[in-house]
Amino acid sequence: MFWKKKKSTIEVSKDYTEKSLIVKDLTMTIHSQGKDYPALFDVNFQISPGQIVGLVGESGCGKSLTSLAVMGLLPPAAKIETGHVLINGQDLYSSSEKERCALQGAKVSMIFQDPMSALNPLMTVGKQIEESYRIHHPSASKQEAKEKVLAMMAKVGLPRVSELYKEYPHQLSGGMKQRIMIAMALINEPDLIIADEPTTALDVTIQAQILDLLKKLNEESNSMILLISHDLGVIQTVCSQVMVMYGGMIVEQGEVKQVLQHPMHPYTRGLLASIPDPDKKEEEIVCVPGSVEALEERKNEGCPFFERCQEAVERCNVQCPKLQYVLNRQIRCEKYGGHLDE
Amino acid sequence: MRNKCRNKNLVIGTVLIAFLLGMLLVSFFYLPYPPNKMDSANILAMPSREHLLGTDNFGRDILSRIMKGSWMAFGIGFGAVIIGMTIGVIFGAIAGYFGGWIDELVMRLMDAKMAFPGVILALVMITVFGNGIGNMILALGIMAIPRFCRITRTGFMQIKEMEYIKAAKSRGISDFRIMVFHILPNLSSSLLVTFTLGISSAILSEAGLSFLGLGIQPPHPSWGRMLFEAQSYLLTDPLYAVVPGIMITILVLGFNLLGDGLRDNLDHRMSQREEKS
Repeated sequence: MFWKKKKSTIEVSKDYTEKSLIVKDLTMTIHSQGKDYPALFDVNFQISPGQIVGLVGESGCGKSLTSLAVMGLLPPAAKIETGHVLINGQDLYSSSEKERCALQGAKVSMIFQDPMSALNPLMTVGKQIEESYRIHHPSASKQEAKEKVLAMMAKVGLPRVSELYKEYPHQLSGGMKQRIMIAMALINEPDLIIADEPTTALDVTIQAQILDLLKKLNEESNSMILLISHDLGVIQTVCSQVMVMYGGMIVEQGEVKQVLQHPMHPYTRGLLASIPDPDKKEEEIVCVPGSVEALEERKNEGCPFFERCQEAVERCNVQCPKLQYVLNRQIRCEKYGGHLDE
Repeated sequence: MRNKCRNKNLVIGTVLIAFLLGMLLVSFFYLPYPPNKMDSANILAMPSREHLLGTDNFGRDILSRIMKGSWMAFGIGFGAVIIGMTIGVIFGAIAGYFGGWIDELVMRLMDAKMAFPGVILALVMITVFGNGIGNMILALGIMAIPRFCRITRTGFMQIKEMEYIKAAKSRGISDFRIMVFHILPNLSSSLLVTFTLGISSAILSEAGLSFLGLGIQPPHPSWGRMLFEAQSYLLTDPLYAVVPGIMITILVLGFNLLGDGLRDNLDHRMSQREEKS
């Protein structure tokens, strides 16, 4: 199997403790019906402090799996074949359970897609934020924790915080709930925040407010944000770097301006072309033909995008292209040269 | 219309249980006669002003014995179900939350337990560990474990998949905290229903065992025991048998109606919630 060929050779320096997220050669398989299927292949990226990095792609292309891998919340069927996830120099998957728990929520936190279902309906929102704080600050007194929570709630722009503290999730609007989620993610001042489509469930005006808030908080605390979205507009306004994923691989990666204004990979171009344009009402909406293949149906050789690519040549079906540096970005496409097996 | 029917169950159940609880409360402070005091001059007396429900074959006041007997009924009912619930919830939570071979092991244990008829198990326990109230409560408690275990397991399996549980995990909250503070409160209403229904079946089993002469030993008054003692006088003094019989009926009916009413209420609320979302 091709995804097992390459063994990671990275030397992990133990005393590298600067704020950073490094994902190195991450290859992961999903076990299903007695077989292993490659779900992520050779994922490499890194985020440094102050950066907001976007991750785009269609559903089923590995975005969420990547975020879960970084969070250390993989489903039981997933198995990491090779590679490392280094948070502030600490390898998430060679750490003990205790060390990992200390990272989760304290150094890394996650903002979930749907604030309606990501809050416990039977706990007041204040208590939920407070719980996250006290888990990682066991010595803090109740009063201290509550003050901290109220301050954080005010910081994310919630009104009348002392009343909201005692309310249950169903009493709040969607935007308020997402602010609660953000407050919860930020309460321990994490170095890395993973935002998994944080605005998909919200309406457009609230969406803009939440994105502004994220951006502002990022500038203030110099944290790292991994923003997952399938909305290229969101990525364009918020992120500095972007990664485009397809079939469990990063196919194009670079500065937002370059990648989104001058896309090179056929898939990125297809994604950008699929955005409906109000000026071209008369024309049919362009889309990338076909859909993401189910994990079980993917073939194991050649470019994962081969079936749907309009510029594919025969060679694409045989060999999987390597990630190449072209014009200040990384791209994985036959057109720009380079093969995995060379 | 259906709503009214639901409430009827709940109301009747509550009234019956309230009546029995009232009697229980009074019996703490006042009993017409000491329940074990014999009066050989007044054997099998008919109801009179001195003995409102008459006396039994030893001349003991039936009303006093019924009142004192409610201690046993409630004590055994609650005691057994609390034991059963505690153990059942712990096992069910572990099985449902962790799944895999632990789940398999716990559920096969429960199956094995359920393959035993409850009364036989209680008989075995009483034979092995001796006759006593403590052993009786323990035996009835063990009988109640599987139903709690199953309900808890199913609930945990459903709720652990919820987004907010994953969110809680992502914040580094320990499995134990998630189980106790995030999942268990969601099950409180269905556990309450099971609790109520469990009490009535525990009390029924207690009455059955006492009737068979196991369980509560004389001279302690127990409704099942009284029924047993009364059967020889069924023709001469039917009231002696009828009174404890009615009390057991009221208790079991009351708790069953209460449980059904609570469950209907819960289902109703659930369906409303689903309609909303």
